Amino acid sequence: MWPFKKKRKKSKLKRIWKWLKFFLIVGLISALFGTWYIHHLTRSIENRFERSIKWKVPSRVLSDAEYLYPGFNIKNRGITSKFDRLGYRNMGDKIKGPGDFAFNKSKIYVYLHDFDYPGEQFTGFPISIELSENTITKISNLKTGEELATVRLEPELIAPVFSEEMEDRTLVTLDEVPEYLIEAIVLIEDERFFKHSGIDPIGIARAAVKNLIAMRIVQGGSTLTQQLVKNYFLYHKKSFTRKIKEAILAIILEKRHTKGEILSAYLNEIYLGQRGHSSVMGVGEAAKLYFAKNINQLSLGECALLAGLIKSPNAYSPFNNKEKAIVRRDFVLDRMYYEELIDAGELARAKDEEIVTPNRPTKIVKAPYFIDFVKQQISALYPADVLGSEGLKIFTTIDMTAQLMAEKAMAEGLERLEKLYGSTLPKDHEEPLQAALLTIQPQTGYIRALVGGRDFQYSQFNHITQAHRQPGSTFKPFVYLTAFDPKRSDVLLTPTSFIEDTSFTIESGDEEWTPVNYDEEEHGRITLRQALQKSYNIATAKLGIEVGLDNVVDTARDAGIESNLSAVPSLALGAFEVTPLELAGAYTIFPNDGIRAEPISIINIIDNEGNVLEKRSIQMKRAFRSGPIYLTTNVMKGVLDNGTATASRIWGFKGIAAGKTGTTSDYRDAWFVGFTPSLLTLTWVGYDDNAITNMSGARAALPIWTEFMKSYVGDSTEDFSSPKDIILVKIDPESGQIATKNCPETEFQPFIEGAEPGAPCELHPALGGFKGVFGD
Amino acid sequence: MRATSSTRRIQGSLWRLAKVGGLFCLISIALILSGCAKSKIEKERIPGSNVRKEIIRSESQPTDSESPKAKAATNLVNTGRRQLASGQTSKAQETFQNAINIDPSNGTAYYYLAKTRYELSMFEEALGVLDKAEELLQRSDDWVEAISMLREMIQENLVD
Repeated sequence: MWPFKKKRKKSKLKRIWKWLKFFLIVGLISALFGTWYIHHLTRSIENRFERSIKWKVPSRVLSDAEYLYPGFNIKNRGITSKFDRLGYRNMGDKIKGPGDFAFNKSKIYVYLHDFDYPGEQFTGFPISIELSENTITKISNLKTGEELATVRLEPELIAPVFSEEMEDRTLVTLDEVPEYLIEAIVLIEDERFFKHSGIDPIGIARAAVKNLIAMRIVQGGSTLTQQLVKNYFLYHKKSFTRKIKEAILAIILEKRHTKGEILSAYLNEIYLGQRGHSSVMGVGEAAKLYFAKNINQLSLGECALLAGLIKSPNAYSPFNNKEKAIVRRDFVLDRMYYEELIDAGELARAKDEEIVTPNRPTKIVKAPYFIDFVKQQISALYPADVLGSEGLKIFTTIDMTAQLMAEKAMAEGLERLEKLYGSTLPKDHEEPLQAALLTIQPQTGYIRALVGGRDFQYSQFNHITQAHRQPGSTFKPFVYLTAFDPKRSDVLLTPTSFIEDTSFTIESGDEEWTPVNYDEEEHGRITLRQALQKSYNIATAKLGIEVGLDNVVDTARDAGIESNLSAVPSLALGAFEVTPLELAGAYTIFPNDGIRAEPISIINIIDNEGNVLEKRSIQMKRAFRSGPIYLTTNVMKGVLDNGTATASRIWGFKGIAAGKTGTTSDYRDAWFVGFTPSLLTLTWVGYDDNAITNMSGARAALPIWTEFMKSYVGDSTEDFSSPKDIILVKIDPESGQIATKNCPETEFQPFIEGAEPGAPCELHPALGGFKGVFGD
Repeated sequence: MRATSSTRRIQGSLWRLAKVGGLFCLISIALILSGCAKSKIEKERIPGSNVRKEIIRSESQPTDSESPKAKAATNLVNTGRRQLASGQTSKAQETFQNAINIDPSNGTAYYYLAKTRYELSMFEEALGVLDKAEELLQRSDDWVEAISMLREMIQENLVD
């Protein structure tokens, strides 16, 4: 028995040793794997945390600022809509803090927002604007009582430029966040935040008991740190392993970072709602979304509501259900009171606060073609990933009031055209009829409105900046400008000079070319004024040859047309393609006295810290003498009053303006370029595939121009300034010579001094005899 | 009764029409008179003939210095001048640009913008703006002199 026992003991030891080895190996492997896993998690959470400290903040494209001053008509400029777009809250009768406005018939009260301009931090203050019949009569600073000559309204946000995540965020530091908000968030979301190390067993147990009693989930056990981790890695699927992983990551994060760092990250990271397709992340942006305020301007009630929103931003959103939002806010306030974070007075006042939200923008994407144009211009310096994450502020020249009016005029104009002339448009044409509009302030070159096409969702092709189209008759003013400038033309001509509008044929290249008028008639002996006002092709083609086609090319180049141009007869009739941007830019020389201001759309770019990265200023250069410019403009005034664009007057545009219609061969492009002394607008209508529209510039492009100018400029009485060397001379319109007493009809016509006619009218000579000796 | 009331209505309409017409005439006369006040017809004999050439020279710019936007722009120009004097040159440049933005026919805004750019050594950019100032201020001898001086200063630097 004994040897047998010994043998059994030996084999038992062997088995134990075998198991021991097994457990040792498994333990070692597990330890190695665990170490590796913890290291892996540490690395991933650290990477994410480091990245989160360098937040992805979308860049913002902003409009130009707007100045208010006595005499300013608030109705014409749609100022109340502008307040809405700027996120001001209509408080009804009185304003309390930044972002509030209130108005009645005779007064508007506004508490201006703070705003960071390039190199200047503006602090908002309350103002009162006194009105008389919608016109500002007085502006006062309500804090100091001081009367103000001008007040600047901050630029509007046209569009944020997001990264792929589409997250909208305004970074805040712990110092900026009101203490009430921090206290409320900690209390509601994780009241033992400052006591635990990432996970909170007591909190979990308490939540479990509460949930068990209620037989449903009424309280979560996640700490702020766990919520932050969850947000970082976007864990949507609920699972036990996910919870474990979240807990480990939370512990790691707490071991490596201070509570302050974690709280700061949380406040900037937490999801707080939706603005269109973009997510509103962090309390900074949420304060703007829900209350149109900077974070440091929130009241106690607003802090409580914001803290309450974290649980379910959509359910408690005051935009969706104000009653529910009030109940949630009051719940947070009550908890704050029980925890003695606020006293009874504060509780009552906060509960008494009315929740006033700004109007939600109905249109999230504004000026899409303009935004695209801006992005393209800066794409080399600031590619998409930089724009989506660096939080740049791009200050542009656009005037959102003009832009919205332009978009409306174009949409309605196209609809009207299709309704009125649908029968003449090509049948079953695949692509829709397109249109484009561009408005420039001629003296600064500022692009004030740009509509690059009918629908950005449908086609991103920008017809203003990318389309190359024949300008047709809109090119003609450059021929006449050459003719009226003795330094540019081979012959000296004036608007009263005569030209024969009779058919001719000329060799152009290897072919013969014969210009034809749109009415397919000849008009005989006409003045240059008549030829341009009525847009006669034969006369203009003849004039182009007479003044020198090379000279016409030089004129167009000096005006800023860079596209290919050749000195051939069809040049005068606009046969060479240009972009609408080029054409409008070239036209600005007319209202700007011959000085060319470079069209610009970006004024400043600043970084997240407010440092100016890029500054673009008004660039101008004299390209033409003001005399010939004035004469050409003066003739173009007649296009609206007596020429091809008179319909504009019938449609109710009464302002002083000049312009030119344009229609290309077979009615493929319809144009109108028209301007007042301080605003130039180009409109174009056509098809992308160059299909025939059967519509002239006057029929298709002019109505859109007219509607836009009627709403934006109104009945402007500002006239074009006359240069010093321009004189008005009384002439006989039949002979074009100096009027005598015998001329049956006379009129004053402008001339550059020295270029006026020298001889008296030969058709109606003055009497001789004594009168000849003693004068008439 | 019906005839009488319609006659009354016609009389009323005629009276209203006459009132509107009268007002229109008065406005027209006022406008013509104001126009006449601005432009004076000069007569010059054409050598070798008995005909006198009738000429009108425009005496003033059509821009209205009393208009609200002109006043607002002038106010900004004054702010810009103060900024320029206190050495805030970059800020002054923005202010003058804003003044032009409000009222593009404010000649002094262009002049001071040119001056600011001269101080910022943006000589090429200053010249173009000065051209515009000259165009708008050409009827004031004082301004023409000031512009000419500034132009010389800018050109000296361009030569360097």
